[in-house]
Amino acid sequence: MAGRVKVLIEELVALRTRAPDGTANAALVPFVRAHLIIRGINPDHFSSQSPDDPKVVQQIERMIEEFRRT
Amino acid sequence: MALPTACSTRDRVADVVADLKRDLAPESHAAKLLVFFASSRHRLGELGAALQAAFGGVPTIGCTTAGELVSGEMLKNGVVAMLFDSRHLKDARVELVPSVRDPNGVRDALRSFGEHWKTRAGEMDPARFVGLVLIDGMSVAEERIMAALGDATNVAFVGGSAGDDLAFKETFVFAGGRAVSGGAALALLEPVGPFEILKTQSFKDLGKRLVVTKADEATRTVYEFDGKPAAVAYAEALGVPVADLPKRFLKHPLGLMIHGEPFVRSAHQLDGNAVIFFCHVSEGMELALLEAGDIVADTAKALAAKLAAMGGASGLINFHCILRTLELHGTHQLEAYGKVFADTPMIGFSTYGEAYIGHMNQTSTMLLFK
Repeated sequence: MAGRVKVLIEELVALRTRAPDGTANAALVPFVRAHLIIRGINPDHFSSQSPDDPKVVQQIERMIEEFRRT
Repeated sequence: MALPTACSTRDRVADVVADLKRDLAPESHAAKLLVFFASSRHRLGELGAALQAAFGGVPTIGCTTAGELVSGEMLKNGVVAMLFDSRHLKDARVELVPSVRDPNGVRDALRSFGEHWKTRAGEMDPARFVGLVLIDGMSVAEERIMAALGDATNVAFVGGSAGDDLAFKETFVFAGGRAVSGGAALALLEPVGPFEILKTQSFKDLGKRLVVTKADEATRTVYEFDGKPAAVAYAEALGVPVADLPKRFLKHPLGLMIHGEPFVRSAHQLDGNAVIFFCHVSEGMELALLEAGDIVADTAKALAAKLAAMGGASGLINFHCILRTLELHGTHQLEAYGKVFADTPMIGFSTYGEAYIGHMNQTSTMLLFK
């Protein structure tokens, strides 16, 4: 399979940049992308053709879960 | 309204507290938060508790240092403090994470903040809140704390790694009425006015790239760049023999480039052909080779631009890398660096690493209040 990492990154960015009224807060995108890069996941390095690295997939799934629950 | 700052270089805790209390004048307005940084020659638990008692139980956060900064001066063996009152902060809370190894430590602290403000950490508005984070500087766990914060909230946490006056044995952080080694102190601030973060470093990108192909994040060790032994590839990029590489670490660190800005990764020693860094590097990271510039001139320029954009600041907290302090000392520029802040109320300390989004080196990372 391929492209799962890109989909998850987009899901995480959308989740984290959604304002309380449901609109997207574009000003937060650089902060979220920087956090990912520091964690070793550069969003620019993943496309819909990128292989599904299980370690990276799991890492981003955990980030989504953590942001939702804390 | 200028943020009040104070410093003391006296020996006895009672005298230090008296100096700080006199200059911070806590009676004038409702105190909201006391931030202090102290030389490791003081017992941090005793000092922190005495300060907290003297200031009427106001939430207090602090840590030990490798040198202190206060408006216009760089100190050794001192204590510096800044008092926020109701003119600067609507509210503030502090939490202690007793052990950086506790996987639930940061989560528990954030939950406590969330309960106080009745807002989940993930829903806190980063334009309304800002955090302070002070982490044991010998824990080799700063990345874990910053990752936990960054995973849970969009609120920016700014801070540094506690020092111990270059002994490299034991550092302490203080919050919630007690001091611990091996922990982290967190504060969440709700400022009255705007605030800004300034991360400044004095490096230019030399245009050469090294990609980490084998590393151990836990020990901050890189074994290979571009498939070659790390020291060999790093030395080749600089055009020097491997034997000369350690002498170049300070002037030529590597940078993780994010939005055109380096998040500096400073190496500190070789282990055979492996390179050990002061902060983590992951396999797959592309790092830029950097060259050091003029710390004083670059900091002055960056600060002036930020102050102009903000229309001035009531004060700032400066987390200043010890490697920069050592370089300034070597070039006899400590006084000149201190003077950059002569017109702005400031406290800070020489850190064992700075915190903003992640853990990094060789920066001055500042939190400024309008």
